[in-house]
Amino acid sequence: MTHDFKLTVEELRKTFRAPRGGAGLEVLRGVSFALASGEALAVVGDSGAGKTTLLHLVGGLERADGGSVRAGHFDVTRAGEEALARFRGREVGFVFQSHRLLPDLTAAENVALPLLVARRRRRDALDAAAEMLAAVGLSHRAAHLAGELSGGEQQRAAVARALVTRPRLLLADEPTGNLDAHNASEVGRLLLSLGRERGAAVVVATHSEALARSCDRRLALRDGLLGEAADF
Amino acid sequence: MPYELFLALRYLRARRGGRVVKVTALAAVFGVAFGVAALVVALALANGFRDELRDKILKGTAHLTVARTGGASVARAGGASLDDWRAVAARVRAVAGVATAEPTSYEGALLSGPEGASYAVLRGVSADSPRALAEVKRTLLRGSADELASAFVDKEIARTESAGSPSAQGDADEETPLPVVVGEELAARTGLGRVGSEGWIVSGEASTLPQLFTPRTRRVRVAGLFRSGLHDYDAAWAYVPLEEGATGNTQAHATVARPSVISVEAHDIYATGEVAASLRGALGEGWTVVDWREANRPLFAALELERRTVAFIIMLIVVVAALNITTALALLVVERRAEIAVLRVLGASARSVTAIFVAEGALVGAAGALLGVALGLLVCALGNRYELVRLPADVYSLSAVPFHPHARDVLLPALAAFAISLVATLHPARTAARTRPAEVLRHE
Repeated sequence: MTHDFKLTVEELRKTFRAPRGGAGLEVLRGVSFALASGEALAVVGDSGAGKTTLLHLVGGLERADGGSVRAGHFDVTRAGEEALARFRGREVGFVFQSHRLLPDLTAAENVALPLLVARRRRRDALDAAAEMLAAVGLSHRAAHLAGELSGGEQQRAAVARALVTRPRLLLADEPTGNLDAHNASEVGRLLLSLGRERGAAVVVATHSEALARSCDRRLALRDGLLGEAADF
Repeated sequence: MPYELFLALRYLRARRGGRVVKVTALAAVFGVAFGVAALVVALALANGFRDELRDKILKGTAHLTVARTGGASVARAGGASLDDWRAVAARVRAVAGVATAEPTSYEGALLSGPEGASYAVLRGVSADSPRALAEVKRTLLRGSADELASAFVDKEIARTESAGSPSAQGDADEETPLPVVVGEELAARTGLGRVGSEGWIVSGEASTLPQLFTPRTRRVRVAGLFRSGLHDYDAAWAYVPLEEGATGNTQAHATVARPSVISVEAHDIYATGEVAASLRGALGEGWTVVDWREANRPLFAALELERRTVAFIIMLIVVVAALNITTALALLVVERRAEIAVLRVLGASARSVTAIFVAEGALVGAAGALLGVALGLLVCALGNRYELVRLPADVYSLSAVPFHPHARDVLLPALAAFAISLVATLHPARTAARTRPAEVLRHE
């Protein structure tokens, strides 16, 4: 486990251009923050405030218009597509509002998938997946197809998938947004405890007050800028 | 197993997914399969027809013919006489690859019967040539071919017993017409279609003196009729006893078929080119050596052209079928956009995403190709068992065309279909690789 990892975001800017040359939508106007290993940051804000965009930029899924994102020694904002793919595979775990499990794969295969993508042996990948499923309390559902799991189980499996590679950065976009209170609480707890346990820097974009309070820090995204979240 | 193949396999047997995608994928598999099967069957049929034709040609003619240079065509007209054929045949037999070497003739003459006269090629059958006699017997329709071999042997005995004057010998020849085995078509044209019926062979000899031509006639009696299945042979050929060592012609006893060609049988019919080269080297200047492929080059070239044309046209079916793979994959890519985005999020490279869909198309293509080969071979087996492609036997002397699925002609269509299927995957696979995960995740 590496504890010297640090995520550094500086003056990050992103504008979505209008398709026919109209006025663009400036979503991020200079966002900066830093996060250390084992630390959890909640990013709150209204819908459309740019939380998802921020996570996409940090995870290398989108290109920033300005500023920088550094994950350890890796410069996310300047890396090429293939380098970003490798970065995501090795260093980043993603959890989405919807579970995004592959419906034709079992829970175990879904959790093992990031390791298979990273060219780990199938047996090793499935062993690691079994371990993660046990950690999220889904051992008994390992052989079930993703579509056969309940909503809460699907999201727990998604958390297991995000953490199976032992990423140094865990990005969660409204991870409890589709769940009832009980499951939301359970998934939030697992996400943060397992993330911290594995030394990941965790960024959670959420509307959930409870989940935000469980994080070490809370920042609010308003008008394209990140500031202290006074309401939480 | 790479995860790309694992996912491609899983997508193929996915229980969920759009009905249209599944139907299109199935159409692609069966389209490729039917195309490959049609190609396998068509090529097997073309092979069968060509092989049968080749066998018939080789049964009637030599693998190679050796003649003194000077005749127009060794196969159709007699070259210069080969009185020393025994010595020549011995030299030919000494060449590697030669199985047998026997004398024969291809003399042009007129065969005259009760209903008319027709051009005939007189094929001389030597009494020392059991192979040639056996070949005549194999195609014999009616009568007997034995007299071809015994005619001059009996005559030699008669000559010895009579020990008479040349005039007495001439009379004996007059009483015994030359036995002849006539092609069915030629017999019908001349009215010599009944065993025992008699006619005349009219030949002649051009003199070195200008405008001097000496016609010769010989009475013949039909000993048998043959049908080879090759119209050219059945309409022109007549087997006559080869008069080996016969000397001199008289008006009463005209020599009609003297050795003019050495008929060579090779151990390997496909090595006749090499054997021909060896024979040319061994015999030196003054000899013409022609192998069966050279002699029949236009026919086999036409068959090959037909074969290739058919193969090309049927290959278009495979191409059209492969377009179904493009359609199926394009639909699949649209259907799986969100999953492709997730794979990209999990670290899959664009190349890996391409590989997943190429593998998917390759599996469809391979399934189609294998199914097509199986289907094609099944049709060939059934075709041979139940003689599905029948021909009028009286025209071809062949009741059905056999299916000969040669390994090369089964593998090539399958591999070509597979290759075309791979090409068909490229566009949708690249489209999949260009999926922008953030965009998809934001909107789906």
